[in-house]
Amino acid sequence: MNRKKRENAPQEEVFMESAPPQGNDFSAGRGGRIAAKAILLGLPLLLCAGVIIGAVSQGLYNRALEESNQTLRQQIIKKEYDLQNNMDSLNDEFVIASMKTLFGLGNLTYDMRRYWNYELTVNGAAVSGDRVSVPAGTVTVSLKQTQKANSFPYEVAGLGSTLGGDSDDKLSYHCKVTGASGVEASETEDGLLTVLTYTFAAQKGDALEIHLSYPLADQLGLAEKYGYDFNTIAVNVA
Amino acid sequence: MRQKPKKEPRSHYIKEAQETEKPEPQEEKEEFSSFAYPVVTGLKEGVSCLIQSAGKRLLLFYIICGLVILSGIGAVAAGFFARGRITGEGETLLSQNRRLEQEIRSQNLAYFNEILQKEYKDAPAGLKAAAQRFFSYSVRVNNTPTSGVTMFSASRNIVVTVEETVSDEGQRLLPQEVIDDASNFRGGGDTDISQMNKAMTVDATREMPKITKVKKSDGYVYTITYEAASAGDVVTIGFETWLATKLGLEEPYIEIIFNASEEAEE
Repeated sequence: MNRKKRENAPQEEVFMESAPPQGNDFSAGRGGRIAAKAILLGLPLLLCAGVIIGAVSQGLYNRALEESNQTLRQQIIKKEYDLQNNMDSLNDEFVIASMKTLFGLGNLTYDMRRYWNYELTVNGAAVSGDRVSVPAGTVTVSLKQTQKANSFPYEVAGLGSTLGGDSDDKLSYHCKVTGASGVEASETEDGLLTVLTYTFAAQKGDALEIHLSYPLADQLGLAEKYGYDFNTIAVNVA
Repeated sequence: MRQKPKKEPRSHYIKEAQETEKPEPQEEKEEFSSFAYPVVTGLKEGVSCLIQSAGKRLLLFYIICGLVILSGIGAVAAGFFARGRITGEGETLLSQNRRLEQEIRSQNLAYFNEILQKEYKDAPAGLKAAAQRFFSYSVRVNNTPTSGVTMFSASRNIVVTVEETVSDEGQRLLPQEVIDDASNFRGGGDTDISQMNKAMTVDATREMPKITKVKKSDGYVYTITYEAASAGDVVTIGFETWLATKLGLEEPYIEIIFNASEEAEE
């Protein structure tokens, strides 16, 4: 036991000689073990993490590319279908958008008015002034809207009409008869012709009026004559 | 009495250190700094100690890591090749998509042109006026844009460029026939300059300049070149009012004075 101690003593001295300066963590090989662990275990783990990250990001990138290709495939299928079956609609859409950009909505609306014609008659006689006279009895007020044939889609040509191309709008919203009782209204459509008719019985002295919307008064040429705030025609029952 | 077996010296790595340090030559020790030397020796101790104490587990760890790394590299390589295939496929799809888009667009434009030609047959001025919104005009003297009346030229050759350009939107929207009809510079053909000559006047006293007209993808360019002007020469180009307005000129003419001294200085 003593011999062993003696043998160990100088060796321990050698070890102490090689010990680092005081305060260093490498004393007694602890730091070395940590560093070795870091290298022997950390390096492979780092490599593993690197290749895993690389593989995953590669996969994600490929997936994004594949998704973009899928979108393109869908677009191609749609375009091929459109070319075969849907060109009329696409052409119309192009014309509608292009005409609006080319002329501007205001100018286009004004320009398209040339395709529309309006005629207001009372008992068959055209109304061209701010008052009309009718005999007592049955009175028929009729508004005719005629569209001239043209190649534009309705969304373009319709802008020039009193309805402004609005499919929810009706002629009866633009022309009303007031002061009469038992007014029967009917609206018929035949191709490019639309007729709105009001029929009622009038008695002498009735205060009847035909109220027009400003756009309709303008289309009838009455606004130009009586001003753009003109909208009422007086009906005198004689 | 049976003695308790003596404990091994403190730890494996102390022992290892003793063994490994003994035969180490003195010179090698001196090569390291006081800090690096224990680091290296400590590392050596640590490595051997770890290998001794956890040999089998370490081996297993390395096998697993190796497998993971190899599989990862395989996946990356496979992904790389797949990316090439997907990218190639994408390019084919993209060009196919563009071709179809182009086909649809050309049909749209043909249809639009047909309608415009038919509906504005009796009122071409309205269509031209609308299309003109997409045209712009500019004038440059010796490559310098101008809107003023008087310009100085340091160069003996005075080059006036008058340009008509159709905007990108106009090119996208308008059929070529409508663009051509709306062009003020198109005249009777690409080489016809009679319309431009009508719109512009040059000094009667001067020799007629050399006028060239070039068609670009987005319009036309007229280049008017006065060669070999003398010092103090004044070249006056007059423009019709409509052209002067479109060019944004203050007056319907531009005076260009050849300033010889500036040329000499240069």
